[in-house]
Amino acid sequence: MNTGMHPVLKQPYVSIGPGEHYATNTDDVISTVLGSCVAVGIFDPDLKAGGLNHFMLPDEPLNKNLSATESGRYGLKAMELLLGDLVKLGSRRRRLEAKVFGGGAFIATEEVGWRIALRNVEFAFEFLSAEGITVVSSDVGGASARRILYFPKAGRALVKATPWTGWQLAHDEAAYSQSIARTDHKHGSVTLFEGETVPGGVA
Amino acid sequence: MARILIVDDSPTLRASAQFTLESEGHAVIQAENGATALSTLDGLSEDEAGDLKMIITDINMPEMDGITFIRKVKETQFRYVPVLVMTTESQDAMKSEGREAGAAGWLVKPFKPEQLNDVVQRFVK
Repeated sequence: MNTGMHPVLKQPYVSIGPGEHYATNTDDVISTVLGSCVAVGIFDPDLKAGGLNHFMLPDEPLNKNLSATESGRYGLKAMELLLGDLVKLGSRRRRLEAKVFGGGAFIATEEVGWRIALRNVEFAFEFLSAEGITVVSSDVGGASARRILYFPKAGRALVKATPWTGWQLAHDEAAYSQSIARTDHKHGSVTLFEGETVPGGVA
Repeated sequence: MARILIVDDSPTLRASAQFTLESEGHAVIQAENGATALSTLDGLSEDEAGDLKMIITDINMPEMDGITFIRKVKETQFRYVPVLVMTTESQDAMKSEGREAGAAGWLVKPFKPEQLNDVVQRFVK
């Protein structure tokens, strides 16, 4: 996560990368660049706060119910972190508005690239529908990468199609995809607090 | 048969945990935050209350967060029912707070279905 002053908007910005998220009720602008990854912006109109995440589901054969798959867990985590931070800011999780971006496929990638992009988009829509969160706008698919500027206090977004400059983005996303698999062991970790409770039964 | 209460503000998470636990033969009841979970517990029949063997709760929820919920449970007749926290929060400070509130365990999301079943099995025989 990088922060700075946006040269054109003259507003503080927070730039997020794959696997990161940011939610705020300040004037910070959230920026990110998406290839086949997806970013979901969530806005709470009652709270005048919002946030953006940036995620990718690792490759796995297409499945009807993405939330129940192994790779769906990474999407769930990204959504859970963002929604959790909004709750911490005071959101009651009512009337939330979502915007979905990304899932572009680099024109020169092989079929797997298209499949990953499609899965990321499908997951986002499937999750938001299951959570009863309205998708008010989306800009997904296609062959270009996207630069996103998200204004969390207003739930507004600016999207600019951008070339996959010098393979760097495709490279970064591939590296991220591989790192997800490597860090898998951290998830599902269990801590048991001994002696706190007697298993089973009611007093 | 063991009855398990799942408290999470995400319908997706509740549904997936319910599916996982029901596959193992458990009966599952759901609540969307700590406040509704307390009402749910209050509304259980004597038989249902007797069957309740475990509570699984998220931390960051609207209305009433998981830590407050655990503290409140510890003031009820269900104080001996083990409470497992299921959350994306993984910092030690947060875990300590959960332990002090009376949680029996802490499971970091995301997890595989078998990881949930393994930890539940430790509490529900």
